[in-house]
Amino acid sequence: MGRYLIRRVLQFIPVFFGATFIVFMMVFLLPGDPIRALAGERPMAPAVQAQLRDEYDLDDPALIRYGKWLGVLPDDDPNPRVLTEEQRAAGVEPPTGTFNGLLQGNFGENFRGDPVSDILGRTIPRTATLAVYAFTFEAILGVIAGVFAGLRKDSFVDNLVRVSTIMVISIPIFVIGFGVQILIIAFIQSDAPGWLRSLTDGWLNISWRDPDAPIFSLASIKAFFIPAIVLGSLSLAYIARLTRTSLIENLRADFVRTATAKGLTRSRTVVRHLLRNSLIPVVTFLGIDLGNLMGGAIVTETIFNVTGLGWEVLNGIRGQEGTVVLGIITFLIFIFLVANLVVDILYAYLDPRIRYD
Amino acid sequence: MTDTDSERVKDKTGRARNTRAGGGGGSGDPAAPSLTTEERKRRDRHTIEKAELSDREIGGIGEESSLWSDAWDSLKRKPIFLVSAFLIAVFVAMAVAPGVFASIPPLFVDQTCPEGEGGCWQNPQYAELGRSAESPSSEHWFGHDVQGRDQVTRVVYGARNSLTIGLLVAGSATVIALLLGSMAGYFGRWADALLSRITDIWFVIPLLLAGIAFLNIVPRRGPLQVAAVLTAFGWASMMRIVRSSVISEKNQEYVQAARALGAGPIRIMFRHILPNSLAPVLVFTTITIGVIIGAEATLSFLGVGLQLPAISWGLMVSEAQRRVQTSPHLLLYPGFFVSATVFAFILMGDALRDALDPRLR
Amino acid sequence: MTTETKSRDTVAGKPIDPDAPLLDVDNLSVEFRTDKGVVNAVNGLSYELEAGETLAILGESGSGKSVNAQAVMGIVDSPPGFITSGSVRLKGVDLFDLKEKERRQVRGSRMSLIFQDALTALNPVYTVGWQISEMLRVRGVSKTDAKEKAIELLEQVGIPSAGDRYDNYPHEFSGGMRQRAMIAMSLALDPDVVIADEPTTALDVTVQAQVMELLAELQKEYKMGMILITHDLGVVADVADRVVVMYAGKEVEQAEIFSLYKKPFHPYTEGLMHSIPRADQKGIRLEPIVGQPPDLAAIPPGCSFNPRCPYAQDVCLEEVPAFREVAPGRFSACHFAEELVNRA
Repeated sequence: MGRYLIRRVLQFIPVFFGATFIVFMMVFLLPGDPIRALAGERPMAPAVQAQLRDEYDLDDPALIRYGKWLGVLPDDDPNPRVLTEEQRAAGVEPPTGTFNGLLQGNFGENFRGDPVSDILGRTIPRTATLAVYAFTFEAILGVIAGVFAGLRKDSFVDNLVRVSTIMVISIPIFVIGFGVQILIIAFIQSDAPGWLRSLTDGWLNISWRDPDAPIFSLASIKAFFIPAIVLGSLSLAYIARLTRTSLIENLRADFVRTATAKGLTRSRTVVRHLLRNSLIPVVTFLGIDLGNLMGGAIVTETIFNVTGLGWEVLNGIRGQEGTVVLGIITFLIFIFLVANLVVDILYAYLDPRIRYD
Repeated sequence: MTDTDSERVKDKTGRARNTRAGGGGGSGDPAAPSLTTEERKRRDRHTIEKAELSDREIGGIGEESSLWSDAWDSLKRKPIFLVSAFLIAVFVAMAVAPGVFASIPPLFVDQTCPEGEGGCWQNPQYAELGRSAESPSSEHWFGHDVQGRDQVTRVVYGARNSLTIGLLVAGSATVIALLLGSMAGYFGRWADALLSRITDIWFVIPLLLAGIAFLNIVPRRGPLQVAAVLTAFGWASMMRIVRSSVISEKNQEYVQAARALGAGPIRIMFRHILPNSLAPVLVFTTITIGVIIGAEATLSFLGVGLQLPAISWGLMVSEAQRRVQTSPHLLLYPGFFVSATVFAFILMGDALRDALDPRLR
Repeated sequence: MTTETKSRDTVAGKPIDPDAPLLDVDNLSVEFRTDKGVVNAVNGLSYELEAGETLAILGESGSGKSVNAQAVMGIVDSPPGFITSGSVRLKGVDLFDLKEKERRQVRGSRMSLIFQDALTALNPVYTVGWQISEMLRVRGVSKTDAKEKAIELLEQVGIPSAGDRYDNYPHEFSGGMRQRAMIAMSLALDPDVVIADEPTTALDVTVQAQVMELLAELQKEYKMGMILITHDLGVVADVADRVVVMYAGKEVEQAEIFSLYKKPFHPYTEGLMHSIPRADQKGIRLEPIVGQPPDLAAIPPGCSFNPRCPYAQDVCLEEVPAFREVAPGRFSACHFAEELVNRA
């Protein structure tokens, strides 16, 4: 197992660098002149422009820049902003020739000089909160729907689940999001009792309420309730379908027949033998999905004004903030790879037939 | 004991593919769970055959040649297939001849229309600002958009871009996937290792995020540009399906028999392996068309897909999003049409899977 | 033997009939309703089993013999499977009259089933020991006692260092050992009837003999009635007392094993015996039975064997032959069984 893990981690390394390199190239092909954009209407001396270009390594070849960003090439002309106020006042020169990049834990900074790691630190908890709620919602409801459908194949419930999940899968998230908004608006404008309507306060504009309310607090549940349902709806449909198919497959398996022949009760047969085996692929899907939800939140966050990772990445692209976009996508790729690794371990734990040498 | 061992090896490789295939990037990937089950099915097929009755007369798996004709027989009777085929036919007709649908309902003669005879409402760009965001009426079933254009016409004309991009991306991704996937699956060893790693790299980049980041730097974005970017980041999961499908066919006895009879690799590939591994690819391609149509709409909605004055359902929703409180119809109709189109293709994929998977029949 | 008090005078709380045979299957019919039509897997099958006896049910694949086993155990998947007629009596108690809860008390403890392929019949995610002791634990035996008993059973079926093997998963056992574990599980509650459904088909030939031998030993030791379902005439000869030959979901011949071997009184049995090599008939050409096993969705009218029968006459196409005693202790369902008897 240990050796297998090491091999998997080693496999991740080229994939991680390859993927970040592609994204890096993509992001820094951004047209337009970010320095001019930074200057805005104010005139900026050519010398200052040149210095800024140099600071941000804008004139280096892409591969060199990637190396510096990664921290495998020395940064010969570092940004003086890495210094604190006191250091600058004391006339300390920014260190040159140091390796100062991703591998050293430095995501770089945006054009206003804010470290990208600060932006990540601010936005990740919000997106993670949203993702955790969505995950809870989709896992519980998806498995329940799938089990009910699978146990009674071709029944009314089964057909309902099959058709409704395809519908949910078909409707793009942004349409679901606005659909839900329209429903809420209709509800707020309806004749429902005031106390009932007051429950929906803030559902449409949550981020202006309390984006950093502690997770699982009432305030955060209220703030993230609707966006989490919207975000989790797609995976919910997948999970229901996956649970259903997996269950139907195992329902006819010999070992389930054996369990019945052993004289076990129906409920024990279903829970200990049928479900235990059928949920293996579902659990692995859930593991990967936890990684996906973070990146998938971009549309939901845009619609519901959640100032999380997705919102920030879209803003970064519009503002040509390459480092921010790159930092966030890198983080998401990393999470995705880690989720895969966790799932591999989980899989071996759940299915003893899988053993690694 | 040897049997058991080979089972286990299959398990392992099958699962290793599953886990990564499960994550389909930001926009989601409807075939991901189905892939998992698809592969599990393949793996468990012999088990389930035994579980059936252990007697051969109930739904034994047929010959590959009869798979397609059997599939067609069962498709013809499936309401799911008929409904999705009908919907797809309607949307394709809209894309090919939008003028026909744009005159539904027959628009009454509007004297103020400069071109006269009321025909101008059938021009998707014809606008009367005075009728901005007008609610649906008996003449204009879907009402008017913010600029005062007829929404029936707009929505109908939106089909062309969606379908073009969907078909283009699914088609080219399938070609790339068939090429790389069959090479990796057939040659194995270092070719497989290399191609699979390259695929992994592309696979971990989330489709939606990559689309946003990359399309943002494309100055003029027409259907071709959007399709190219979506293809670039969308072929990886399909390649994995082709690869696993080819690997499982390659190990079948009939292929070894063909090889024993002296057939060359190209003949084996094109005459034996590819035709037999097409079923899962066809299912996935169909679903991909739907997924890509949804992705295009999402990108256009986010402002990095098609650009005005192009007509796209995603753009229509994007234009209308600030009016969600006052004029929900502006969002509902384009939202409904994009959903219905995606629905038709995913439903078709589902029907195909049911028909092409002998195990579920 | 277990802490559960199992009364030998009742079955699922119902009083037994002391004069009734151990197991009495009468006119059993099972059909599967599929999209492609109704498949008649078992068509009016009847047989009896006495305590301490081994009854072989012989037939090719597609003869309905496995479905028969599932129907007797009450584990036919329904839908698509439906029992359309007949009764199964255990010591005179009709099992089809029992409620599902009572039926469950019979399964495992009064009759148990050994599956053909232990690899698929054992749950892959639990250890072999856990699965055996589960049978005891759900019936109120304590965890430690159940484990002790399970290890004892594993030893009894000849699994070396059973204590260590207890914690192995099914895939860590060899094929033969898995089947032994399956047998141990079927014996855990000392059942009256054990049904072995092709218990050796999935095994290597050398292992087959060992497993059959073990089954025969245990059957004597536990004094249980055993139904051995098989397609292999060779297996039958060694262990069975009586044979029921099935064709297209019906019994076509029934006899004591040696009597049947000496001279079959049904053309199908005759065909079966001519199609396998026998040590005592060296040099005789093997004759396979012509044609295909019947399609259970379209069983031919009259005698279902008529399309493949070398003796078929017009009457065979029209009338269903009665299953009757054609000689003392010999039953056959052939219109011309008497002629076969006389020719002997």
